[in-house]
Amino acid sequence: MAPAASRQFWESSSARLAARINLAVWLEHFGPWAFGVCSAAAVAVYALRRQAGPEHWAWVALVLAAAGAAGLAWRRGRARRYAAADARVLLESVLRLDTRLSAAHDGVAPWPAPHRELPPVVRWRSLAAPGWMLGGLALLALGAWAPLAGSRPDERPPVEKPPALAQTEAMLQELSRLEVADPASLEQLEAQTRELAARPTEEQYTHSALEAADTLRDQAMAAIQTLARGYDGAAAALGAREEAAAGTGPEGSAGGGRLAAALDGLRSGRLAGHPELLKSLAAAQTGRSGMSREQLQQLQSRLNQAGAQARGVAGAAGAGARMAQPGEGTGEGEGGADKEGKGPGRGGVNRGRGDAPLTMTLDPSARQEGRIEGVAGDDFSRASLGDLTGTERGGAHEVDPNRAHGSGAAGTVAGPARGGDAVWVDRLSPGDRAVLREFFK
Amino acid sequence: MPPPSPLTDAELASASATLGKLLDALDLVLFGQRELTELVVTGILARGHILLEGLPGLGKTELVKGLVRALALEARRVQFTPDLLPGDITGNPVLQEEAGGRRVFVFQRGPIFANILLADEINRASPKTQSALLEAMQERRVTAGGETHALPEPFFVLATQNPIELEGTYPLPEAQLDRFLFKLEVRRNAPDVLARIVLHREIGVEPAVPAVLAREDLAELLGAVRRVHMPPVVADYIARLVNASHPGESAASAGVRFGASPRAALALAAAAKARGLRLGRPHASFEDVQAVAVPVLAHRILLDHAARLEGVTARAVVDRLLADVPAQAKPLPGSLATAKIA
Repeated sequence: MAPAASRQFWESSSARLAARINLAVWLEHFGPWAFGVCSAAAVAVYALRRQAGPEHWAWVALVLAAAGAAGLAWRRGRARRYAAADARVLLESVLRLDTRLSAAHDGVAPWPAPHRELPPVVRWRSLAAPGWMLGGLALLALGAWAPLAGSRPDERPPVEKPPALAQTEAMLQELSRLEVADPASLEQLEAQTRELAARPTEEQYTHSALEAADTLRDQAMAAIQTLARGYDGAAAALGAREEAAAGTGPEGSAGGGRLAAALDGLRSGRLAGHPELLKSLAAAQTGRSGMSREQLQQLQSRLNQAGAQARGVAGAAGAGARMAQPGEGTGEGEGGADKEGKGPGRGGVNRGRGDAPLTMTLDPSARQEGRIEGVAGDDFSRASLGDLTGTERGGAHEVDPNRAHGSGAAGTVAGPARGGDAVWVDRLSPGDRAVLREFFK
Repeated sequence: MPPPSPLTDAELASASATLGKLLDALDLVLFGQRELTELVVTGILARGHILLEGLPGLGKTELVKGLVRALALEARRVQFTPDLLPGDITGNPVLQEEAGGRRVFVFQRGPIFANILLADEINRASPKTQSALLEAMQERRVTAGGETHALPEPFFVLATQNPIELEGTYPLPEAQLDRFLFKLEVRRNAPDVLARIVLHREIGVEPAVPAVLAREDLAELLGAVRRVHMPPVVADYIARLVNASHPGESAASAGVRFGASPRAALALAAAAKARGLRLGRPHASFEDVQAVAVPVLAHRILLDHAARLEGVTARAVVDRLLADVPAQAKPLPGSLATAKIA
């Protein structure tokens, strides 16, 4: 073979050997760094997948970090890198070429004949360096493709809404279905309900959220009851006016005033009456509608029915105190049909139970000291957490002033008290205050 | 100094052929000791002095005598004994009376004034007498009576010694050992070689060895060795080997009290170049250095007491050096290793 070809063969062999050694040097530096970069990227990618965040930033950061680490590894291995001359010496010493390559390079001897098949001069002794990289890539693949079992928000078990909120929603839906309230005013309450329901799941059961839900439910129930009373009042006023018109009733113009007041109440309440009913009622109130007597009776009946439906809605979702239901025990009382009853009623036509409704009164004589009066809710089918299931009043609390108390925390004072009294108070002793002052100084 | 011109192929071929003849001639003297005779010839080409060590009767003296006859040089033989005086080797000033009756001291040259001095059983002489050879071996001259006398060119000391464990021997001082290029161990022969000796030799009859080289031929060969190229990478290898022989410089030097001297590095280089020429190459190689490392370095490395007690030998240390010091100074990355090439 020509000397030039021999030279070319050995020089290219030296260059290839140097490249292989330099690759190993680079891998030894880059491998651990690549593992670190890939591990960090795997954690970041996995976390972003869990959070449904933008993963592409993690990939961009990975590429940049890997490129930086690669450059740094190349720089750090500079002193250990092989030049072609170094590789030539290694080649001739391992192949036992009697230093012919160096002598030929020095121009003293001819280049040796090329080997037909050059044996590998170096071999991999340890796969630690590529192992680092493979390990890092495996972690990266894990971070990128590992399944996110049970981690997606839509796969979490549904969290029940607070009972008060659920009751409010149910009431409003029922009202909307029965068409007894103005959809616009309903929408206001529904908007408030939606706002509460839209709060994060972990905040649904905080103290403030539960209080807000309870308040909203109470407000909704109060509004429904007001609406029901408005319908009842309007029906009664309409009946009174019709009776006056027919000459059988005592009222004349006063009945028209009551009807107008009822109409105003239905319009201005937090829950307004249904527009169609209000329209018919307004027409009946003006007397220019040309409605026949039968139509007016139908309107009265419809108003009564709407009032009953509204009460039924409030009663179905009642929180303990049972609302009066037609035929379910609300008595007529002693005051007759047109007066509020006092005390337990005798029951309706369908002879329901005779429990008296809880009533508020300003008459001190109504208090029956020494006797416990109570109301018990024994229908738990629709009760929910936090519902009041019974009350009692009139009796004295049995408080044992000598009852022993357990040890309390520092600054806590506890003691027996009568009903309504504060029985404990957190108070720091002067010594505790001094310690705290010293600490925060 | 300008670099010597590289050897031509014709010069290399001629030298290789001549040296082949010389080796063949020596094979007639010693059977089955080709490796030993090659090293002896290499030492001669490197202009070095050679110390042959071995038990009596192994053919040390015969080898030297055969070499003398093959080289056709002037040779003297001195049998070293405990009562030998330095002047018996170098020569003595003798009082002579001149023609006018004037008496003057005239230097009477000793047996050292020859091309080859065969110092037989050199370790039987006292250290004082052994030291008489120091100047001659290093500077190739003798100083006596205030006058310096140059030794003939070329000048070699081929010494033989018995193992120092034997009775009536004096160990050679380190300074003198360092002046020997090679210390070669003459090992006993294998049975088949012994059989050849029995068949072809007879007590009292020396083998006929032809004169292979004339004085001029040898001078030409010695000049050719000086023109053998020493690649810088090989010189670097020699330097690292010698440096690693010192205590604390490498793991291989454990147990070493004193490492090899710079003279040892020069000896390694000269011997490697001589071996390269003998093998027909115009340059020295890593393999040449490795081949001559043991005979060059082993007698120059002094072991400490503990290592000697543990049975460590200088030869083992040199073997460890050769194994631990790679030809390529730059280390391979930890994940790579050199392949084993058959």
